[in-house]
Amino acid sequence: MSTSQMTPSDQKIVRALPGNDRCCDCSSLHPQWASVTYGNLFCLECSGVHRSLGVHISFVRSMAMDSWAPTQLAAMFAGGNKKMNEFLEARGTRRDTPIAQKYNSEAAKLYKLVLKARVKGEQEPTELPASERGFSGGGGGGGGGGGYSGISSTSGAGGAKVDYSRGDPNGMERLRGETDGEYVERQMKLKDEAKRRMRAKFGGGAGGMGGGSMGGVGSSSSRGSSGGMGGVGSSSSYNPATGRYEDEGGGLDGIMTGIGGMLGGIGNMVGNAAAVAKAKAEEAQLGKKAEGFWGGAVSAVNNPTAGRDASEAVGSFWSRVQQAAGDIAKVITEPDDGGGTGGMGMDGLQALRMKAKEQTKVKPTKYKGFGSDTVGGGGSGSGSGGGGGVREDFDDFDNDGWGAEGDIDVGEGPGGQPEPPRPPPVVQAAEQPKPPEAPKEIGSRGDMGGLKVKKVEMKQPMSSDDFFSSFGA
Amino acid sequence: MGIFISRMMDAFTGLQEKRILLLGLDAAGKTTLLYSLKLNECVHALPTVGFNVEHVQYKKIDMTVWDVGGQDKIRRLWNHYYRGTDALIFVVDSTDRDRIEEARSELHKILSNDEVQQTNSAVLVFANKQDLPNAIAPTEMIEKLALRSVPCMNWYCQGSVASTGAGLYEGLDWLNNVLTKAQKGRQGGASAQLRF
Repeated sequence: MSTSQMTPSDQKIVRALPGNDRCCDCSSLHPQWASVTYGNLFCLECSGVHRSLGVHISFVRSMAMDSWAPTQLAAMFAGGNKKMNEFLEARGTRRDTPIAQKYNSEAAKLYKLVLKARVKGEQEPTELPASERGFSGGGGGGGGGGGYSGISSTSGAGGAKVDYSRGDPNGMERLRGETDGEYVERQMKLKDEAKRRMRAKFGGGAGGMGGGSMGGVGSSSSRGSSGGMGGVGSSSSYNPATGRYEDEGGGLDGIMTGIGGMLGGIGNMVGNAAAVAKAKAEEAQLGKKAEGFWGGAVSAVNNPTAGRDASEAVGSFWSRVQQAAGDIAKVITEPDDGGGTGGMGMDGLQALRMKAKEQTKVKPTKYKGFGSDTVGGGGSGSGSGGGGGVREDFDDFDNDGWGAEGDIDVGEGPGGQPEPPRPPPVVQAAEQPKPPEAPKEIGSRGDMGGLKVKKVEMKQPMSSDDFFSSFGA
Repeated sequence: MGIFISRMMDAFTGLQEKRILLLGLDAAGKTTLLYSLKLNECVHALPTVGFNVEHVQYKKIDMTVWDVGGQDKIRRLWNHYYRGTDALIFVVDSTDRDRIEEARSELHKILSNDEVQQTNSAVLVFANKQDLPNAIAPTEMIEKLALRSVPCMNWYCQGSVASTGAGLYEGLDWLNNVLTKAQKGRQGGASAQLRF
């Protein structure tokens, strides 16, 4: 498919079509986005909703930032906002209908086919073929309705009757007169329904989802319980259930055994520690000693006063425990230390690390997958340049002479040349004409669904070697 | 004791900072995915003109995720983000069968870049929008994207629904695993790096 930029003259033709000076859905001026499916134009806000419908309903392109195939252009020439809205209104779908509902209506589906036929120069259909009517949503086994796709103004096979009087009850937009509580509740419900559909489609965890009916889903709605969305990777040795590579097997077993041994050992240690602690209490130096072992560590890991408190109340359970922990710590920090702890050095450390990972692991998953054979082998070369410098000012990035609107033709920098790290560029939005010397930080548009997202501090890419040094002791 | 031990653990298993690049064709679901991870909710994403960047912490990895707009004309800017990335997350709209070939060529173009090959050790492909009818399954996606021909890099293809968060953490589990493994490799199994 040969694609090319929409030329200014093409854009002019499209914009000159009746109704194309305003957004097809919300009537705001200067629409920059187009749906090839309907040959209409709309604004950035509405394009977001269009994209959320999926490409099977509306295939969205940017007039300025996308490439256009000749057939897509032809659809734009054949379409037009006015034409479309008149067609829909003649069939009972008003122009200001919520987007999800508007484009799922039968009138819109018919218009899609009409436009397609017009582009191809075929006979235009006057009504929907039977197969298109009463669309039952939800793919696979989930016949219970599939979000937007299940919506149809005349209820079809699987589509329940939906009341649109206050807006789209399956949408993310707030309904008219809906309170915060209701909105949250409705969104949670939709989320749960979506999860159920997923399970219906991919098969449930335990019981299996034979018919895929909405009601028959297992009670657990936790994420991991749905079947396989099938992770598959370059190595078949990766086991998503454990989140580990099978080839670690031997080592892992050893480590696990190590953990077991250690945990068992802790019991003994606590006991022994009681005796040891008593002796040490006489020296009244437990706290100081602990600090000695740990150096700076103790301040991060343990409140220094706790050590002293412990030494005062040495007969208590906590002091024993702390002593035991101190012993463990000693084992870990001094792996070469022979003594009574024998070969527990590095193994102990690894065991602890494994255990920490184990603790932080959210939940074992059932999503199946495979990983690559070359794990850990690739890409160990650390990047040069950069240093640990921290850039805190986004605006700095605007100084690269990023040109005027639309002029984002960037020379391809040859890779691997020793040059200072280039700041990521900020692209001038082609949305509205703006003075070229004031590029806006578009990535952080405040209208991102009303979200207030804190911008993070930007750091230069750094190599792993820089990484640790940047912590500054 | 639990708190004490866990704080001790933290000291030993310090966070690793990683730079992650989030790319894919336009309307694949990159921004939705990013904010689904960051905020654990489905945002009403608009086409990204420029980029979004967020810190996302998962397990022991502190990821700086760069989500760059995917419109055809601004894909040429991707190469400015390549330097120093540790992993690539490539998002594909599984229902967009017409453009799967385009996605394949873009992915392979990225992976053949020198700068990417220098530091990037893993590619996580999200076959997104699995909740929609007629979605390409992850196994099929591997063939469509010719992932098996990716040289010298770990890859993993995971089905997902960015709007609900399904499948995302399974993918990150893999990423976490691969990146920590790569990190270990770099340190050559030397002594533990303590961070206080």
